[in-house]
Amino acid sequence: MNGSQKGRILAADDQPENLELLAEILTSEGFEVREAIDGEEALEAAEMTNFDCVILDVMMPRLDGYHVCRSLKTRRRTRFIPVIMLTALSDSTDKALGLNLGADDYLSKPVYPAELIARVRSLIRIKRLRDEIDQAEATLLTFVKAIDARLGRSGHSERVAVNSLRLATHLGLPAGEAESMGWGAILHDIGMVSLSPHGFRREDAEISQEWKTHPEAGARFLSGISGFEAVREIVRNHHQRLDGSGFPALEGGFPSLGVQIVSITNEFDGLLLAGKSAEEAGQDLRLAAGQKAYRLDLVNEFLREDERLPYRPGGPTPDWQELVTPLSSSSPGRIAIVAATRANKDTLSHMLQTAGHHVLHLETLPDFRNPLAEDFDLAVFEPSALDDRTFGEIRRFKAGPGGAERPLLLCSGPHSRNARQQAVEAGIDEFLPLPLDGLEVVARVKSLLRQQLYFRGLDQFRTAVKEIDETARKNHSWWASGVSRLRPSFPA
Amino acid sequence: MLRGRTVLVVEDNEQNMELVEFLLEEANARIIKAEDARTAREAMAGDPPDLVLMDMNIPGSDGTSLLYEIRRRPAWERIPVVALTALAMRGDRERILSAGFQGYISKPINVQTFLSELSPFLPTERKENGR
Repeated sequence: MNGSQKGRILAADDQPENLELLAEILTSEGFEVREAIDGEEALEAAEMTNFDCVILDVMMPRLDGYHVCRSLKTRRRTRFIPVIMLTALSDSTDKALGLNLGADDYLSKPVYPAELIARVRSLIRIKRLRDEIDQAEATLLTFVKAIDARLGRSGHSERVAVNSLRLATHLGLPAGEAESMGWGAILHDIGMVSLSPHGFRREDAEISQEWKTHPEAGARFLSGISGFEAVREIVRNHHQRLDGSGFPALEGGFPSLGVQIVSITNEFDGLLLAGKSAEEAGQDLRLAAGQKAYRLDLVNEFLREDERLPYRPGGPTPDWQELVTPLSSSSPGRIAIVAATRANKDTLSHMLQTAGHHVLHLETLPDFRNPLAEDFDLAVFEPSALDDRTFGEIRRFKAGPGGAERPLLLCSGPHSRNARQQAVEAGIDEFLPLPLDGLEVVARVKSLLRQQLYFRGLDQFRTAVKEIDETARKNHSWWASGVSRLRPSFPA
Repeated sequence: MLRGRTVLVVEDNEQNMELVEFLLEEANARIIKAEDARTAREAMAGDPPDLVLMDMNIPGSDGTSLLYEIRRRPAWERIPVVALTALAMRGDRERILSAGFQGYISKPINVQTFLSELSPFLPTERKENGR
């Protein structure tokens, strides 16, 4: 395995001796290291290369580590690169600031090689998962392009997404909802691939019952992706109207604001594609709003925005994902504290709750064969001893149903290498050294929650991609060549 | 939008204070820090801010009492006061708003959205005697 396969790491420190030492440790483990002597240089380097991990000294001239971290985590292209902050300060406030600004972990100076390697390895594992999700997402977006190209309306879905997001921003839709809406807008016609070649082309199919099945087909393709509930709603209902005159029939009441926005921008672009001028399309929308199909204020708001900055068929459209404010990628989880001693139980609860997590307490590692077992995303386990009984318990949990996908953190005192090794073999994901350090707990939990989220997400995305691909291949002879022209690496 | 504006932050948790300070400085806002009610009062008297961001749990008072003090002074009554609170449960929202806060920002602070959450509470006009 060469360096770039093992991982490409960017290390930034203004002290040449420290930087050299870091590079030496990492290179000797087989990583490829790019050195930067200050924050500006680090940022420039990160713009050029998709690093697997970035290590930042806090105190640096020109731009300090906090600002670099913040910039990396705010930009769409770099926000998923793991960041480790190096701090010489024992002051926990400074460590906390780094973590709060999105750093994934920190290390105190002087750096211990074993600790550095362990952190880097575990973060690179997460980054690789994220890269695979990016790949799956990109394939999904290629499918959209292929559909639009085949229908002779290149850029349609992108315009719908961009126009919808602009309107959402204007209306002050919260960032999370806007992101879901962006996905719903870009994927709104993904269900088209389930139509026969005849039903696929709208001009032959204007009145076809078959054509009207594409929204539900699209929603079905996405039904396995958790966190995509709002996306599915938009895909399913983008042809529905406020007065219920669209299709398919509404499930569960009034269409959400996201649905309403996408149905307006989709209709507008459709009218332009059918040869109408923007003015005529606007009049049609207003007329439909008058007949209660849309909210007139939304239509007017959109038309005003469109007049200010029009995106037209055949013209360029910005990248819709650039319009989405990246959410901080840490979301609260349900954390089980298992078998903890009284003192550590309280400390752990407090630390985790302050970080926004929901905490529950258990006496033993649960068995999910029991339907009454309380569910959680991650467990922190503090066994009274690290012995055969404990290893057995860990093994049973990890081998049992649902155990493998729930990360397990083990609190442990100074144990022999051998005992730790046995715990790892039994299935422990990470260690938390005792006495507990609040920031360390929070950082480790955050990383493992993310890893778990990615694991699930990756599987779900891949399943959706596979299903869409298979359906499309069955129905459309042009599919495979059309997609691989747009995405040369396909099938991945 | 926050550029050049003065924000008084009343918060005794050092880590939160440092985070808020970082984010406000990044937006080129001016920040006055107070870790308790007494310092907050003194800071208000010396240099009335454009906005007050206040932890609900502060030494020497609680957020609501300090809010009432601010509201009673004619010179301060128009300064927006935003609560910083870990109580993100339903019902608390109504309680905070009905107490007279302009709004609230829940903890833990979301660094990506903090500034856009805060700026709508700023009055559109700058203080006439502002710097």
